[in-house]
Amino acid sequence: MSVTNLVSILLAAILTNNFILSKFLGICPFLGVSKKLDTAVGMSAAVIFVMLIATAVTWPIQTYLLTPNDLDYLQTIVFILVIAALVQFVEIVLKKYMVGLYNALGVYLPLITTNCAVLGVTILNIDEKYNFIESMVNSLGGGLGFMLAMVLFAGVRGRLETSDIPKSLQGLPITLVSASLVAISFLGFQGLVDGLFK
Amino acid sequence: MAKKQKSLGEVFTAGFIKENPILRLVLGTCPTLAVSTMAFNGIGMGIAATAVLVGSNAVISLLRNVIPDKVRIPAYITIIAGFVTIIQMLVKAYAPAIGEALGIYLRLIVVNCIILGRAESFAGKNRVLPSILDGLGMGIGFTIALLLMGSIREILGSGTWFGLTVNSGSTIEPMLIFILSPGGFFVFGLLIALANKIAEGKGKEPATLGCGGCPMAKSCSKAAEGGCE
Amino acid sequence: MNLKKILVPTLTLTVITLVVTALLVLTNGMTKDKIAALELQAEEKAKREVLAAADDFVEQTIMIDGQEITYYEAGNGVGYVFSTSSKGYGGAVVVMSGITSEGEIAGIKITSQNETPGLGQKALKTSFTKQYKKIIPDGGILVTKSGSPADDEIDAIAGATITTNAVTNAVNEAINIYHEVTGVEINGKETEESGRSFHCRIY
Repeated sequence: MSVTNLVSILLAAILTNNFILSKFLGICPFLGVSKKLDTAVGMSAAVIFVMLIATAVTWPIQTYLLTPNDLDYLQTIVFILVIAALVQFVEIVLKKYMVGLYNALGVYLPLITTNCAVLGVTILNIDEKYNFIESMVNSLGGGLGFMLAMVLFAGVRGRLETSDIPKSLQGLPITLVSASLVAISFLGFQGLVDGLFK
Repeated sequence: MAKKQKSLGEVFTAGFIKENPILRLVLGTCPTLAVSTMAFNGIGMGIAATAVLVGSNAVISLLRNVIPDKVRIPAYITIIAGFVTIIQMLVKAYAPAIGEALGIYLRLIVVNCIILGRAESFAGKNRVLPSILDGLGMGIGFTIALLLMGSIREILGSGTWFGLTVNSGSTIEPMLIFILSPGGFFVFGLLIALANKIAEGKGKEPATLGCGGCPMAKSCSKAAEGGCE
Repeated sequence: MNLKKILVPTLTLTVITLVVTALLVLTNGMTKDKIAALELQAEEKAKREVLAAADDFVEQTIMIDGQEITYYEAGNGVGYVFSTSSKGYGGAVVVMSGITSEGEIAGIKITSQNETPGLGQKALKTSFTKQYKKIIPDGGILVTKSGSPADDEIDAIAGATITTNAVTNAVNEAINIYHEVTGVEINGKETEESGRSFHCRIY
């Protein structure tokens, strides 16, 4: 497990396998929350936060509890319940002890509990057979990639506000078409990660 | 609750077109974009999701007076997760090809907003038979939309439909981009635009990603402020 | 009563969780054996597909770089079957390769993958996998996108270079193990990292 390996996992998660634009995880917050920059950042921060704690808790559970006891089939239900409970707990703690942080990202927490981005990253870490550090790096990358896509898109949508758009395309349709164009630009990163370390 | 008595037929068919979960309610967007690269995968996902939807709607409706409001969401999630895992095991045992094709998205059905959304907005408040029909109808609507998107992307992207070659590339070459992620966003956007146009013709609202269908709306403080927009 | 307000919901939730878990354990019990049998069946079928001339297979192991690698030797001595994997687009791509004692790849089969449907999954087609049926080239198998592959090359799937590379890397790793098993020297660049020894160009 070298630094190069970790950096390539990080870059892959942010750029080439961007969670939103390539893997389609976390579309709802992406489409719904990316209109204004500050909400976009707040939501992304919350996602990074939850992804990291979720991984930190679910990875050991899978490795030390589920797999050794042949209970792999309980993965889905255990993971989602753990994540839901964890986020609830964190929200309460934040509300009471870290009000500033709560105001910045706490409000988005219920929304991401049942979001495919968080559950997705915890399952992916297991599927890719990453060890603990690799899983944490992957989740960090996933969250950062999420943030990158959100922030870029907030900029795009800001421009859309002042454009003349045909009636049927207004709102969701044009947002999706714009997303497809941003996705194309990310396709350009395809050869980057492997090429970087050749 | 205002208009209570929707006929069973209306409940069943609502999900097909009028309240199509993908094109009108805009729920379940993640699997839609991911799985609609081929028509066949769309059907596989649609059937799996429908099975979970019907099962979870039925059970949640049965238990709706027993589940305390405070633990509503965790209880729903547990039941849904249970069904998803059971379907996953059955698919692995009896239709492994579909399981391989759907991959992680089969497991992600558990956080599919359609399922949690219907549990919250319908099954939790209605009797068992309407809930089952609602689940079936929404599932069918989901499958129809997946089939539509999957077919468009497959035909334009690889020149096949359900694996049978439709466009051998002699006149227009299949455009790979439709199978890749940008194609997904693009086709989805245009389909919603089309649905909006039809809805406008009937005097209905265009589809939005508001807090309406979102299952977490009650717990989200942003919803009270009018959403995250 | 405050205690009741907390106790009842918690209890209900616990009961629901227990019932669901019980159902899961039950279903698992029912399907577990069928799934395992299916996997075994698929593996046997794959072995026969990649090395059709074999009568039966004997499991063998060999130590390479401190790791124990399992492979299968044909009972009638026609060759060997290796199962190797390499990272594809959506996770590990597991490939089963049949190599004859004369140093020719008799066939390959992808036994597990999570690649993009309609794109990377095109690698499952015979038109792609049959490209690997060739005499093992000295420098391993290389990937080309030119459309007309040379004797030591295979043609990549349009738009699915990562998947193509994964399959090729896995086959090259099988070739490496083959050489370890048969004791034949490899003439070509080699490194410790499996598969990377045979350089595959991307975009």
